[in-house]
Amino acid sequence: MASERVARRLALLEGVSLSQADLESIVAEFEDFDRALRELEAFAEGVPWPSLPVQPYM
Amino acid sequence: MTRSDLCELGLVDLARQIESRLVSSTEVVEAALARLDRLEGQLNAFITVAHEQAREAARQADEELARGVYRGPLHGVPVSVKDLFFTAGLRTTGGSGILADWVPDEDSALVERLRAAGAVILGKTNLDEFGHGGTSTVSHFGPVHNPWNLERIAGGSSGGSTAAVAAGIGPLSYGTETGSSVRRPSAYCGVSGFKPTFGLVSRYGSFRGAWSMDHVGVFARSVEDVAMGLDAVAGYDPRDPASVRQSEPSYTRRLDLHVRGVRIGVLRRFLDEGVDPSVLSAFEVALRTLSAAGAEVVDVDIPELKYAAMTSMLTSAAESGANNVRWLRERPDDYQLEIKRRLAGGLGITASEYLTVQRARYRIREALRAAFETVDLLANPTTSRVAPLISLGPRGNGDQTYRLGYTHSSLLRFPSLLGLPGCSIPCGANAEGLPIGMQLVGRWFADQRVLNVAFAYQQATEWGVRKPRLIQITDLHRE
Repeated sequence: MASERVARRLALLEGVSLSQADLESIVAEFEDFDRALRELEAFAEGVPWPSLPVQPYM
Repeated sequence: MTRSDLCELGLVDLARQIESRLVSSTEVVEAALARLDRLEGQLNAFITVAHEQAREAARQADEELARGVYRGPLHGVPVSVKDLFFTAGLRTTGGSGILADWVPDEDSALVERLRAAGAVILGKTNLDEFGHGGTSTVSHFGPVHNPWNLERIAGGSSGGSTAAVAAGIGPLSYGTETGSSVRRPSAYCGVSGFKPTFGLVSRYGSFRGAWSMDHVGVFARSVEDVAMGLDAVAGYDPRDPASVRQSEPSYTRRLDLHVRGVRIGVLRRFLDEGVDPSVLSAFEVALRTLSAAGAEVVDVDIPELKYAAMTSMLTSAAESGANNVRWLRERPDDYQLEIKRRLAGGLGITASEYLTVQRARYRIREALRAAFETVDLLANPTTSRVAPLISLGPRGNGDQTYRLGYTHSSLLRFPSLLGLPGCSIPCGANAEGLPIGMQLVGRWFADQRVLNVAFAYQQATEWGVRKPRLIQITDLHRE
């Protein structure tokens, strides 16, 4: 599952030339993303989907 | 008055001297250039210095004054701008090798307004590449060094601007902020830095980091000077889709010292972990100063803020990645390595994940809206520690932004995440003399309130008048 998730994310980087070291660094960052997103999904539960203009205070 | 004396004058005093023709713009600009040339080899605060253009602009400013034409407080005053802002005829690089030789043919809105105000552009200040960083060490042009200790970072990404102001190379500089790039380097360099409400100052003609979080900021050695610098550049601009209509800016004229009854909230829970004792001690003393002036300091709790850092970073990562996709595909190796990896990683965030993050952002925003029903300002130490060593590398600024919990990163990032006005002002120093900053944040469009309380604090303390030892050594060689 984890490797599929990483592969899906990496597919979004299509067209960007990256070294093996780049990929390892980016995959480590993906782990941070996943951890943060799990928390934020729970935190955002029940909050309306955004439908406002770009200014965050409106 | 010696050149050193001229470099030590703040903007308000300098403006008075130039208007009265007690000093000429040419004298002031030559003094700034002399100090720049003397210190730049140690600071690396500038990418491009406009020696001849600045001298010509100063000469024109003096001619206008001789003809009775006075454009306002910035007339003939040397200022610097972060190298994210386009300057017509003057190289604009973004701190990147991708644009190492690019010369725009138009000014950014910021520079347009500065020139209209008669300001003299000294040069373009160094930064983390395209503003993506918190240290000002990840630049194609090398790291910026902190004037207080050359082995330490100036902070980022507007470190070149804050180093310049701290070193007395012009009384005023302009930068940007997406995460903390105005307030963090202000704290580390011991200057006053202000990030206005989102949309108050046009971003037209500058490189975008994250559209929904990019702000223009002002740096000076006092809040009074910051207010004057803000007056010159704030205002509606239809070319920036985030720009807001507002009445004529007059933050300087409306500065006052009245803090009696102002309610200042302190997020105590965030100060329990990871804040250096010297920083905490300086902050507590600052709070006592505000209390003594009549402010009502209270503890507040906004638990939603613990999600602010990760919300900010994920928003920035997705928007910045998208903003850079063309160059990432065409010129990946022309980026600084750290920046390339960070931007490419942002491309891996899906649209539905980005929307989830924006829902979290909305919830945090509403929590702050409710909090500002009970307090007028929020106060905290700007950073959890003093400026780290350059040798710690780009991650050495201490940002653990993806770590959930009451970490200081959330206190640093929430103002720009939500578009709230915020400042950092000097409030102390550690045992080595390294500056410590206090952050004040107000509700949306309460920019004047933030500036007023910061101004009142500065009138009651001496922290804003210290200068780096590097400059003190320079003063020994007065001309």
